[in-house]
Order: sequence, then structure tokens, then C-alpha cells
Amino acid sequence: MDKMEDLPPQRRAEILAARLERSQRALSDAEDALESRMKQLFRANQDLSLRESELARKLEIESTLLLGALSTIGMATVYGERERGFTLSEGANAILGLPDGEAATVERLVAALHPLDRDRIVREGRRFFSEKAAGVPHVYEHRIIRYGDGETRWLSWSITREESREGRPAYLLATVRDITEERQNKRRVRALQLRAERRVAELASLQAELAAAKERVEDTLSARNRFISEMAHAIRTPLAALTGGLELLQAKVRDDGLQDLTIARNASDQLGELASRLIEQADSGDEAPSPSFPGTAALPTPSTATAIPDQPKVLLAEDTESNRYVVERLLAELGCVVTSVENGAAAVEAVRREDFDLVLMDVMMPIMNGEQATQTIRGLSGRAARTPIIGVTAHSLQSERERLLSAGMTACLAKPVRKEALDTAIRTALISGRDVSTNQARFDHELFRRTFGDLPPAYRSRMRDAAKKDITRYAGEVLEAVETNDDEALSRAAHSLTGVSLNIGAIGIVEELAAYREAAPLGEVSIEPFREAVAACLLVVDDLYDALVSGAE
Amino acid sequence: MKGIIFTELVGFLDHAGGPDFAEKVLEDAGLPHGGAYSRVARYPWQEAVRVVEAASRETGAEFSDLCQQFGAYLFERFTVLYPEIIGRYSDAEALLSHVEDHIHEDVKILYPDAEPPTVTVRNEGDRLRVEYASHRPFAHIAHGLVAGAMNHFGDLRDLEWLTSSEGGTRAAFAMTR
Repeated sequence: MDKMEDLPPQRRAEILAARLERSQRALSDAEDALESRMKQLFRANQDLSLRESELARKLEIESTLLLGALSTIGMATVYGERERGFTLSEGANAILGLPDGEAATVERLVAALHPLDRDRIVREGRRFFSEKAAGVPHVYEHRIIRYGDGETRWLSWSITREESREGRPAYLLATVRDITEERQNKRRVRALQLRAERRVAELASLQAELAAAKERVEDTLSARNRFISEMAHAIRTPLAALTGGLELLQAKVRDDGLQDLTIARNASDQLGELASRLIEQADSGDEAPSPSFPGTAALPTPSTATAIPDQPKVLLAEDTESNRYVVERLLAELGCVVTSVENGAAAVEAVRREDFDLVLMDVMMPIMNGEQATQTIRGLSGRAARTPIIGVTAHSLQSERERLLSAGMTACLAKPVRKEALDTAIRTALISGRDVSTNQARFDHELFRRTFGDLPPAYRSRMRDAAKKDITRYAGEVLEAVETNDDEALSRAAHSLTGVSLNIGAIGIVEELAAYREAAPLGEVSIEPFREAVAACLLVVDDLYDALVSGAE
Repeated sequence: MKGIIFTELVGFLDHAGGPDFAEKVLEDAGLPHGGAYSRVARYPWQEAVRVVEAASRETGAEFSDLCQQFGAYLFERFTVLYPEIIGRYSDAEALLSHVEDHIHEDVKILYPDAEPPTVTVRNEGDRLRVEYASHRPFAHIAHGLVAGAMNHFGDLRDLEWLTSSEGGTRAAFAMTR
């Protein structure tokens, strides 16, 4: 880097000339900029002066208003010596209403005293120097009749007496104010205050009446809802027995009797529906939460047991004898081995003592209800805690269903229990061990309709039941083969299951099975999606059958 | 942008490369008025970019490096030009923490039409985070200024780049131990 002094003279001269020229132009720029700033400052100064004069004018106005306000306050001072008389300040003229030029005197003041206050004030005045304590202010209020307009005005005095001291005579110093407006305002404020207090008291009384009326209405409504709910529940218990009885009769009745039985079943269904609606109606008006254990139980982990037993061991917990009899019979017809207990506490004991494949649990039971029993079972140790539990409830409310599921139930059935629904619920619970959403079921509806449509009507429901049984069986074999790593058994069971599933269009099962078998050789893969697909398909088969097959007949 | 930045930029060229280099750069930059800058006037910031670009072409140095060097030079010049402002602070952290509420406020009083960048500072555990934001792409100059301030106060901490916007209008640095 060459410094200026290291450069050749010619170059140095050129650079200095260029810089001088630039400096001159920069100076010119600076002058322009400064001039512009000067103009701005001048304008700002002008603006400031304008604001100053505006402010001064405003201050003057405020000051005038303030002085005017002071003069209208109506205040005066009085100085007096007993022997030498009294002097009143200028404000006293305005207070007494005297015209300008006329001096206010004590005599004029006494003459203006209101007749009703005159004696009292004159009496107080006479003994003021002799009786009133010195050095402290004494306050008086009285009326005058003002000169000029004759208006009655209220005055307030604050008078202090000082004793004679060191040659100075005794004297008094007083201030007097016209407090007429102040008194009126106070009275108005007090009147408004009293009125407001009365209104508040009235409102409080109205609110109390309203609350009492509301309480009466709520009590009445609650009693009505309780009555409706109790009656509907009471109807449901014999109704459940009736429905179950009809279910049992179906296997025994032949020919024309079947049609009569269908009519009776329809009537029973309608009664069940009516009872449900009554309960829903009553419960929707009663928001008191039903008693339950605090907190929610952990959802059961699906059992790793995979084979679906041919004769599942079922524990039935039901307090009503007729219902117990009917459900026992239905379970027996479905091939279950049944053990019955009469309340939740007995159910817990039974599960603790013995292994069951499934528990069918009534919700409303004495001693310990189904919800509490479920929570207790979920708190047990070992396999017992994972036993699938199907709740049976007279309610069909979604909120209750969710509560029961969160308490640890695997699924819920509404009373009266129908054989098909019971069959499906048992299969689903055994397969999945948890609540399954029907959204997970994938079916080819056309294939489903055609399979059943091609059969004579008398064979269709039998075909449906057979398909459910086969799917349960082969799915169980698939799960068992997966558990034991038996490739040959898996291949065999998968082949059978695929055939049965495709027969009724249950493509969800086929797809999940294929996905599992494809991914299994590549490493860790879960069988859970397959398990859920089977459970979901079993869950919707009946509804699909009603919608696509029997509904279309 | 304020003229003082331009006059100091010309001074930086002189200081860094000598008068001959400075003249060549100004000529090469093709400025509308040949680089005749006044401290009290205002000029488009794009002209400063053109000057640094010309210096970069002349020397082969990176544009961003030259900006950082100029930032450090500029801070040292501030200590000469505005000793009463710089003298208020005992260390770099105190100065940087008050750029926004003291220094830029003063700048706005002196030059009401000035648009200084936003500089925010906050403690993040064992480091001090400094964020720069402006409508002008001078994040590297800001970095140089912070480095210059640290050098002036004898602050031995490292100065790290944390983030930078593509155009150089925003950046964040950290003073770390």
C-alpha cells in the first residue's frame, strides 16, 4: 500500500486535485442539506410559537373559569373583637345578596336570619365568648332569607375563639359558606342511595323467589325423570326375560308357529325400543353423574392366547333370576360352558379363583355393580386381569357405553340381549380382546349380497351363522400358528380362512392376512391389524346381513 | 443512508489500501457524483454496496469480508467522532444492550429522518445473543461493528454467527466464552 507521500508527485497532485474537487462538491451538498435543515427548524419554530400561544390562551381561559368558580362558591371570612365589633369580608355581600356598594355587617346578617333559626343562633352568639372553648373550631348551620331575591339559603359557620393574651384582646375568626346547593345535592344523593338500596333489596327478594321456584321445578322434574327411568328399567327386566324366552322358543317352534313367533319378537323389540327411548329421555333431563369408582381402569391388553375355544368358558354375572336363566340358555345354545353369579363381588371372586375365557357382566347389580367389578378385575394380577368382559346394560346411551369401556370393559351389549348380537360380541371379544370399531371392517358388499342372494331364503341365516363360526375357527387357527411359529399350520389355516372370507366378501380379513404373511419373513411384524380386521368383520356381519340380505327380501 | 457512513467508507478505503487504491475504487464504482460525500447529507445505501463491490473487484477480497473490516473500522471511528457516547459504557455488553434505547434514540433526535437498524440483545445462559435487522443488507457490517466494540473494550469472548438471512438484512450473532 502506497501512502500519499510515497506516490510520484504527478499522481499525488492528481489525487489531491480530485479530492479537492470532491470536497467542494461535498461542501456544496452539505450547504444544501444545512439550508434544508434550517428551513425545517424555522418551520418547527413557527409551529412551536403557535402552540405556545394556543396553550397560553387555553390557560387564561381555565384560569378565568377557576376564578369564576371560586367566586360562586359563596365564601366569606369574619374577624371580630368583643369590644370593637366585627368585620366581614367582601364575599359576605354576595352571600347575603346585598347590592354592590352596600357593606355587609353583623346587624344585616342578624336581620337576615331565618325566623326558624333566629332565636337559636342569637342565643348561641350571646354566650359564645363566655361558654365556648377557645382555640377549637365550632360549627353552626342555619338558614337566612337572602336580601334581593328573598330566597332561603343555608349557611355553614366554622368559628374559632382565641383568648385575650399579652395585651391583645380576645377575638374570633370565622369562615362562612353558602351550602344550599351542597345540602340539596346531599339530599338528592341520599334519596338516590335509598332508592337504589330499595331496588337491590327487591331484586334480592325476587332472586330468592326465583331460586326457590327453580329448585321446586328441578325437584319435580328430577322426581319425574327418576320415576320414568325406574319404570323403564322395571319394564326392561321382564322384557329381557321375555325376549330371551322367545329366542329360546325359536328353536322349538315349527311352521306356522314361526310366523307367530316373529310377530311376538317384533312386539318385544318395539317394547324394548320404547323403554330405551324413555330411559334416554329421562336421563337427558337428569345430569347427576352416576356413582362410579374414581379414575378409569387401564384398557385390557389383548390376550396372547390365540386359539378360539370350541366351548368357551363364560362367567355370567346377573342379579335377576329370569334374565340369568334366559342368558344361560342362550349361552348354552351358542356352545358356551356357563358359570353364573349374582353380583359383581361374586364375579370378582370367581375370576380370581378360576380361569374364564369371557365374562358377561350385568351393569346394574347389588353389592358391587358391573362397572366397579370390571375395574377390580382389571386391577388383578396375571391372566385374570386380561379376561374379556362384555357389559350388559339397560341403557343405550353413548356416554354410558364410553364410561363402561373406559372402566375396562371389552364391549357393551344393550338389553334385551339377542342371540345373534351375543354370538357376535363373544366372537369379537375372544378374537380381539378389546372394543373394535366397525369402521375397521372392509367388505365387498356386492359379493356379500350375491353370496346370500343365490341361496334359497331358508338357508341364508344358516349360511351367515356358519360363516361366522368358520371365520372364528380359522382365524383362531391362524393366530395359534403364528404363536407357535408353525408355518405349515399357518399356510393351511390361511388358505381355509381366505376361502371362507372371500365367500362372504370379507376382504378386510383377506388383505390383512396377506399383508401379514408378506411382511412376516422380512422381520418383526404385528398380527394385531389382522386380529382387529377379523373382529371388526364379525362385528358387522349381522348388520350387513340385515341391511343387504334380509332387508331386501 | 447518512452521509457520515459514506465519508467513513471513503476513509476506510484510504486507510486500507492507500489513496491511489481509494481513487481507483471510487472511479470504478461509477458513482453519480464521483464519491463527493458530505457528512450531513443523505445518499442511497445502494451506492455503498457499489463502492464495496468495486473494492472487492480491485482486491479480490470477498464482499462480506470487506464489509466486516469496514464495520470494525467504523466502530473505531465512532470512538473518535462520538467519545461522549461511547464513554458512557464500561463494556461491549452494556453498549450493545443500549444501542436501541440510547444510541439510536440519540441518532433519531439528531437526524429525525434517519432509519437506523434494529439491534436487540438478550442473555441466553452463558452467551449474549445479538440480533440485527434492517431494510439494508449490511449484516456483515453489523458483525464488524460488534467485533470492533468487543476489541475496543478488550472483550476476549468469541463472536459467532448464529443465523443470517439470504439477503443479509437479518442476522444473529453470539458472544460466547
